[in-house]
Amino acid sequence: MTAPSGGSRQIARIARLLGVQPTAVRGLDGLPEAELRALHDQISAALFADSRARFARVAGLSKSLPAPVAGKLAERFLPPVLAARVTELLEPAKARDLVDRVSLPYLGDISIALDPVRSRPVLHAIPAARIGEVAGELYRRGEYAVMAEFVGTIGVEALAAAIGAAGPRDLLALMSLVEWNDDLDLVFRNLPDAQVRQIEAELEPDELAELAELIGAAGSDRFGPDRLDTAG
Amino acid sequence: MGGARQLTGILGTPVTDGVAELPEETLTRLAGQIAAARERQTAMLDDAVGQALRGVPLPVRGIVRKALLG
Repeated sequence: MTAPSGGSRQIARIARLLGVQPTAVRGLDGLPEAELRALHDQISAALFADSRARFARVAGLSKSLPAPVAGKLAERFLPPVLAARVTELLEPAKARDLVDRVSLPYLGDISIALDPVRSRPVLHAIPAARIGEVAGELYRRGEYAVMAEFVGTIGVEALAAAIGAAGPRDLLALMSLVEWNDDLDLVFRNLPDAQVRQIEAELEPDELAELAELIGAAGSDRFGPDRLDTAG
Repeated sequence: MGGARQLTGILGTPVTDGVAELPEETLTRLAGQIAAARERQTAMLDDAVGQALRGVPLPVRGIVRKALLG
């Protein structure tokens, strides 16, 4: 499996932010990933700042309306890309109330447009189980790059739920894109046996070896070459 | 350097050295794309607010109007 390069992932993120195809954002390919990420964040901040006051007014509505009503209105009238901006300004406790009041597909659409850094306080307030459901929705859509951006943002329980929602090939796609961190290490060392068995059953030996290499020491004794030998 | 200046103006912060050294055509196109995205966002917000004000149930219309329009 060949993962897109870090640079091409950041170009895709910039294109998405601008509402254009990646081919329209040409001329950026030579830039290092870190500069492309910085450019993405600058564009995101500029677009957010431009209408921040209006987004804040919409977010403020969530305080005036009961959560079921606010959720229904948001899904009916707020396009996901705007809902993402509003979400980033919600009080975390309000976000926790609202997250079960909107549909999973809508949450998936919002997640794709969310800024992982600005949305951190909100994401930490959302129950891990719901994060797991949204992760499943993202995997179903093949949005592994989006999920990879959130890996460094969500808490360890939410990360465990997100990893738990992944099928074996989802894990392979996701792990080829993430930046490894201590939370991932902890989650993989504690991966439920049932999920390990499923991974071993569904991945081909070369895929298993690739996954083991991607997750390094956290997985080498779960499904690395030694474990493969043991499994026979 | 016009393109880099234009981009810095539209972003509100200086661009990185690597971005500043991109061809003028690339920088100008990028600045235009950001401006277009900004206009699209404003239009989308105007439309969403307008639809909400017309379409929300009567019992909450006053609250929504006050919150969105001040």
